Order: sequence, then structure tokens, then C-alpha cells
Amino acid sequence: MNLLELPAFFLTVIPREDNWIVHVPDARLRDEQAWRALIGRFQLPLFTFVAELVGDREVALEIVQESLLNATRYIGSLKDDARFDSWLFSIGRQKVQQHWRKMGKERQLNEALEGLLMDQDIDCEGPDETLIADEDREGFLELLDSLPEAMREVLLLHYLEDFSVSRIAVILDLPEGTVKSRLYHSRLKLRSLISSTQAT
Amino acid sequence: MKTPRDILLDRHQDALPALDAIGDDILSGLEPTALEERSMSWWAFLKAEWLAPFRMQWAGIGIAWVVIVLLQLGAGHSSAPKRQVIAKDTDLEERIEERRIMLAELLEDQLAAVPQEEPDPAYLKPRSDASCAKLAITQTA
Repeated sequence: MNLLELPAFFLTVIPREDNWIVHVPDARLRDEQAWRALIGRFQLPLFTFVAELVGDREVALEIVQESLLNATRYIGSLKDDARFDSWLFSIGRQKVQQHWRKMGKERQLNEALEGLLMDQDIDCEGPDETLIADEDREGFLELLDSLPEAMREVLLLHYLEDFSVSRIAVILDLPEGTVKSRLYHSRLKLRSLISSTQAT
Repeated sequence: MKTPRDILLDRHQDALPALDAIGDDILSGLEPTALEERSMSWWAFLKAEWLAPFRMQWAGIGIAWVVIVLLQLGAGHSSAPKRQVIAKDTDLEERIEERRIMLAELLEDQLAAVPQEEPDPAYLKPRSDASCAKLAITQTA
């Protein structure tokens, strides 16, 4: 590890607002304070995930509202308190899919791309140490927008909540191998962007 | 330098007031339910904890009881002869009672026909007096 990687390393070591887990048992009992804490913790990441996928602020707000409402109603079905985050995102993702169906938009997965991605032995577990310079901010967002939805949602879940491959696979209802390949290639694209801007 | 997460969240920061409003709306909808649950009556508790979660089981038990009742009603005809037997038993008891009364009357008549002997006066006295009386009788004899 070189000195430039140290800040990113510490970012991955320091727990990121992980005390939300303590609120889940009280949230099961419909405790208002517990729900306030959980909603406050997840509303913006969930909205970001949804808004990046649907590309419409108002629709994203509606989906987030429905997702949070469903979470308050059906938290009894959550088996593991520590999985509240991925459970909430899976509700949001289901709502996004319902919206797409309503709009008559079917997921257009590029089969050729999937085949290309699947035939590689990929290791993308472990913390992400990517740091983006301020001048690369727009480039990063443009790259994200240009990615196919299938890759974008994997990358969003990875960056927003640092979900592991197995948990992303559960949220998206996909095989772990598919998630790994999508994550690997999207991160590869991102790194090429960063290295190209750094070279110039 | 920023993490991708920070960049992504920054992009949507302007939605925070709307999200806060949504959160407040959801929480206000949560409050009455929470209060309702806290002041839950025993019937509501029973319904929520025992009836609602086991609907299918309760329905099964209900159906089983209906079947049992129907079978019981269907078996009503076969239970009629038993009642006749019981009726016959009561007739028999009456007859036995009549015979017993008749027997008692006959016995009373026979007892009345037998002459009653005078009890030995010596045996009616205390033992010491009785022995004295017996001695006196034997001496006089």
C-alpha cells in the first residue's frame, strides 16, 4: 500500500453510520424514534439509487415513499436485523421494476455483453478504494449515466452502501457470478476514466 | 478527492427537503398504529397474536368440528334403540319394586302370625340381679 492509498484505506476501515442496526428491533415494534433514525439514514442513498435508475426526480420520490411505507408495514417479514439495508434496497428495486413494467419498458440486457463478461475469472470482493478528484466528478457521473442499467445498478449498490457481491446478488435476484462480472467491468471502466484524466 | 458515494449523494442533495417531508408523512401514519398497539385490548391481542397468524389452522379445526357434528346428527337414528333399552330398564325396575313391596307385605303378615314369646324377666335385669334371681329359682325348686 502506498501513501496515496492511505486516505482511502482509512475511509474503508472507519465504519460508515453502521449504528442503524440497533434501531431495527425497536422499528419492529413500530417505535417512531427508531423509524426516524432508519429513514434518516437510508432515505438519501435509497433515493439516489432509485433516481439514478429511473432518471426522474418525482417518480423517484414516489418510489422511495412507497418503499419506505412497505418497509414500515412488512418489517415483520425481515429475518435478520443486520440485513435491513439490503432488504430496503430490494424493496426499492422491486418498485423500480414495477415502474418500468408500467411504462412498458422491459429490461434490455445485452446478451452479447453478458456473455463477454461471464467468461472471465473475476475477483472484485474487498473494499473499494476509489477516490475521485473534484475535476473528475462530472466525468464519473457521465460514465455512470452511460453505463447500461444492468451494470449501473450493480455499481450504485456497491458504491452507495458498500454491499458485498452476495448481498447485491440477493437484492437484484441474480447469480453471484453475474454480479461479479458486472461489477468488475464497470469498475474497470471507471478506473480507465480516472487514469485517463490523470494522464492528461 | 471524494468517494463515489459522496459524489452520488451530492448529486441528489436537493431532494432532501422532499425526502424529509415524505419521512414525516410516513412517521405520522405510523403513530396511531403504534398507539393502537400499545393500548391493545385483550380481544385485539388475541386476534393479532392467535387468530390472525393461524387462520388456516383455525379454519381446519372449524371444519373438523362441523364434520363431527354432522356425523353425530347422522348417527342420531342408531341411538334411538338405546333409549328404548333405557325405557325397558325403567319398566323392569318398577316391576322389581312392586315385587319387593309385595314380598315385604307377605313377610309382615308372616311375622304377625308368629306368637311373640315373653322375654325371660331374669335376662332383662342386670347380670348380678339376674344371677340372684336364677339362684332363688333353683333354691325354691
